Amino acid sequence: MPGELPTLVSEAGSGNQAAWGAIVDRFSGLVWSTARAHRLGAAEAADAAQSTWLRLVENLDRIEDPERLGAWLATTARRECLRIIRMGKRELPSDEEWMFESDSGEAIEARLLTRERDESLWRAFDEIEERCQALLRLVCAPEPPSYEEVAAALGIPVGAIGPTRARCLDKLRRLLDEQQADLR
Amino acid sequence: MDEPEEQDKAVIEQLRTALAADATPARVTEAAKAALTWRRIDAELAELLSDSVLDVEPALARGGAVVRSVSFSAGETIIELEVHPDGERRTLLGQLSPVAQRTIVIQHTDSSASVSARSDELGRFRITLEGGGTVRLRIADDQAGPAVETAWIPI
Repeated sequence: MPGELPTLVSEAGSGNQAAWGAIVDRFSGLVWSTARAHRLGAAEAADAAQSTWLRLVENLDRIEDPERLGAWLATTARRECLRIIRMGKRELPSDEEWMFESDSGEAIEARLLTRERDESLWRAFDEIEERCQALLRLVCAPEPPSYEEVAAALGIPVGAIGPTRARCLDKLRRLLDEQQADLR
Repeated sequence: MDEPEEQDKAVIEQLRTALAADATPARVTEAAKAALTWRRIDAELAELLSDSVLDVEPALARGGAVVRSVSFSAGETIIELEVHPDGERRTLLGQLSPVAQRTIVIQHTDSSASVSARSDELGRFRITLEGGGTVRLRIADDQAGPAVETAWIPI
């Protein structure tokens, strides 16, 4: 809804917890996906997310274009991820961990049910280049961000998202097809 | 054979289903909601000017060890910090300019206990923390004028 974000930002800036909660609910997934797209493990991703939200709290009164808050948060989250990675706190988790780490029992159940199909998916996913993995990780997030937000999260131009997405999907699809062919 | 666009859709759906297991953990969203309590009420923000950890080539200290240096500014006031890790422990060596004797309080997002120090006649201060985490400095002016709080940094 146009005008909604400027109001929420301004109210949160005056200490309105409900307005702040609405902002967090709206963008929490984007911030988390950005951290995961940078291949941070669960603990580091949580740190990056918290730093990002604290950065927004300290800048609430100076957000110039609240309508584009998503892109601001994605850019900030990216910077916080790079900081954490370069601080050397990053542990390199195995692929399965970084994709699946979760504390909910439901998630574990779902994971068992789809394990076989997922295994071949992640095997193929693991073979595509890191840039592709990061982009698809964002584009296929539970609440898909806008291209502008994806560009901000990855530090690449908006114009590159469409072609890169197509190329990455094509590559992933070919690898999956190859696996299918090998099984026959 | 399906058109590539249709096939892409199927792959996207498959990825989306698999990624649903990696939604934002509830505790992360809760922590984000609680972050508003750290809103500055009575202090001026000292913005992050530089953080050597984001430099392409970090400066080398004597002996070849990399020292992380961070600086903040609020108007005329500049706060420079060096972060020296020693296992879990972090020692912060700071410099206020213009030189001033002030009380400096370190606030930590994970704990309500805060550690404080006082800058000396050369504006220097030293604070040791038992662990890392996300922190900011609050510099209180003993005379007139508002307090200054730095941006948060992970250390």
